[in-house]
Amino acid sequence: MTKNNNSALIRRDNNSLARRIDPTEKRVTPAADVFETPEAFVLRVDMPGVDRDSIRVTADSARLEISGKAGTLHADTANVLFTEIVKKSYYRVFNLTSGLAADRVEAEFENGVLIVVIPKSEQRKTKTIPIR
Amino acid sequence: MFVRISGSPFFDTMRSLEGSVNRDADSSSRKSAFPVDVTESENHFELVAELPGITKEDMSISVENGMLIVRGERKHYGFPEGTKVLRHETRTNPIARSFELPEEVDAGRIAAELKDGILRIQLPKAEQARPREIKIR
Repeated sequence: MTKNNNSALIRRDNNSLARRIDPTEKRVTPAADVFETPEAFVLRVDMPGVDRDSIRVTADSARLEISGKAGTLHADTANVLFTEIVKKSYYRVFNLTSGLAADRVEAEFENGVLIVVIPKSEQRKTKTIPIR
Repeated sequence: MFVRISGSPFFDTMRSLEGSVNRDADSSSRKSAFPVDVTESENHFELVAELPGITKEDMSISVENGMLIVRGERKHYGFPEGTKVLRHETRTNPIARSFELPEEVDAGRIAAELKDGILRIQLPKAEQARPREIKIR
């Protein structure tokens, strides 16, 4: 394995495959932190206001796809005086390196941040070999 | 100095915001603004803000001199030992923004809720400011 390989392990795909459903809704690429621990790759994706039931995390051996739709912020009867928050759906794809256990991906949603943990397969985990 | 949105009773136009966001002239530490919506209903105004990754413990809301002030700081969650960072896009700098309150808001009854990265501040109108129907006899 080359040294450079690791930084390209997970990278962003483009949105070209994504199709818009609601024309008034903007599809946005959410900000994300991606890091590698000895046991897993972790994604932390900002998805404020997303409707929890709409969150989808799908993974196969090559890519992991995250999507979700932001819920309605205001009652129909409220008069909007001022708006900066875009009506949106979130979509982002991450390419996965080999040696991950895509079938054991876990996700949780906390304070508007989606946290996805992709465990490494046994042979990929960092192991320290004791020197005798 | 906080970002000030001019205009009365609340924020009159988007225009007043431009150029004033993301600026904190008095302080060496930069404070960021965050996007908000403001709505008005019969009995209250509501301010809704997008603030992912912040807990209510790391946030404060106060009323000072007729201004509603929202401050907070998104704290870093901390990388576990042996972490290699591949992409770091979320920001952890302090946030602050202030808003001129309409006079009819009853400041003593302001309530706030933070859920799923969305802050909602309810700004009830004072009794006498609410619309009343006048019966014709």
